[in-house]
Amino acid sequence: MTETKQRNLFRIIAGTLMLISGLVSIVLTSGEAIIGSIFLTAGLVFVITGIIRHRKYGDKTESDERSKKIGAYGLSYGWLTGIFFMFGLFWLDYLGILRMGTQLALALSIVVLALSTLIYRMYLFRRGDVD
Amino acid sequence: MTQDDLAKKAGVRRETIVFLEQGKYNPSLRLAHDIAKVLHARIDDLFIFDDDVPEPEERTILVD
Repeated sequence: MTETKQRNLFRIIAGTLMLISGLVSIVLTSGEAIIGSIFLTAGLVFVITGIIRHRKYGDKTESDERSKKIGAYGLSYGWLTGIFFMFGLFWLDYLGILRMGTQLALALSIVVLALSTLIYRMYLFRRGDVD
Repeated sequence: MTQDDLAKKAGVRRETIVFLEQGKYNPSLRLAHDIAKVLHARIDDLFIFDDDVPEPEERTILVD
């Protein structure tokens, strides 16, 4: 079995196990369903992404030197953007220009980090290389 | 050989081969070697840098 097929198979199996754990947890803990819901959601995501990736790549190589390089650069640029964003938030708060709660600030920072990483990767993939 | 075949044999994604052909991606030495091996060619024959200049021809200067 090729490495790609194996990796996606493990992803689907892990997702299925998490789905089952989530369902069992929800059924057994009649009061609180939070942990069960988390497992259920995570399991669904694993199974769906495993199926999508298997159909998209099949036996073909999923990641190579170029995709790893672009992924690493995208992540680095994303983190840099996130740091600048948090730096800006700090100064806005310090100078009293904009005050926001911890939850909102953290949530915004997470969104900026994740989104900027995705955008940088998409741009670099279209461009071809990081140079 | 298609791009897909070459990508499979070289162990990379098809997009990598596409960008290589377009000159938009510089491969590592390892990848260049693998591609050359698959195509039964030399790395020098497959990858040419823009700043490669031909050897200057010998010139004879006549002095009176």
